[in-house]
Amino acid sequence: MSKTPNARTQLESVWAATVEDLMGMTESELDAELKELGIDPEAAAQRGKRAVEEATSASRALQRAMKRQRMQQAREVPGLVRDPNITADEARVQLARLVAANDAKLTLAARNRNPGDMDDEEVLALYWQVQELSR
Amino acid sequence: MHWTIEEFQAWLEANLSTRVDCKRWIVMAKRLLRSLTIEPDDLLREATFRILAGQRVLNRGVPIEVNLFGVMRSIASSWHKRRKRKPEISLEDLVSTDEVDGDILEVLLVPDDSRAPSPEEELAYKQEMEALMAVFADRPDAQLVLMGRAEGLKGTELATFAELNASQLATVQRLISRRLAGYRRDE
Repeated sequence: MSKTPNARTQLESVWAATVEDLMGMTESELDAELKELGIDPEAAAQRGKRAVEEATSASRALQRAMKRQRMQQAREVPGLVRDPNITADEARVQLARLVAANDAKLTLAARNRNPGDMDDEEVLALYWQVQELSR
Repeated sequence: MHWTIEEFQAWLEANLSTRVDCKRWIVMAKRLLRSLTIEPDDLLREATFRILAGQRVLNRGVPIEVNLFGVMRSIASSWHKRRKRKPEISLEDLVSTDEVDGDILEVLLVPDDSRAPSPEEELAYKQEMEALMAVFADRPDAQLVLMGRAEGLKGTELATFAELNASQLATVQRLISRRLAGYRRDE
């Protein structure tokens, strides 16, 4: 005999043997045991099949419900409140800092532009877009 | 490492779709439930659902069918415990019980992390093995087979070790399988 397995492996092997025996049972052996247990073999086959089908559809329903819940939670996240005190000049200053730092929140196109050259509407739109990305 | 839910789903389709397979797992469920007044298909449904729903993970160190058995055994065990603590519990409440307490002796469900077990764990495994052997105190032949299985022996090697012929070995293995399904530590 080779090296003695450790105690955990020994336990694992013993329990696995229980399943191996079950998997090796013939239909007539299963029928005999079911009858001994007071269960009609045909009813057992049907109930087993139904149990697996019900478990499968219940788990799918649960996954759908969880997906819906996640979507709902995502929808419930309030939008960014735009502070009216942020002026175009203030936005330009902050964007210029991000451009100087080559911040990844800015698109490549935005990083290559000078906020000082943008008009008020454009600079505020970019500023609030970056704020949304920062959340 | 764990089996994925998709792998379990594929296993179900291949191994739990025929009449014989369904009978097989109903037999096992009934063995595990013993005197509990719960239908065996309820146990099969709960175990399958909890795995598919990701509430129970499957240890890749053992085959999927051994995991399914482990989950069914663990659920049945928590139902037995709960019924013992609260005999008046309703069937509905009982069936929804799932006390996963990270029991290290649930060796089929807890992946072997390859670290050396602590002395306490080693002692617990050995004591559990002794308790399993004690279940067959009246059957020295079964104890020999159990010892051989624990050592990793199978088939002819196991028969030789236990000094049994193939037919006797099959009978003893059936006895072991039935009795062990009914074994619970807290009894």
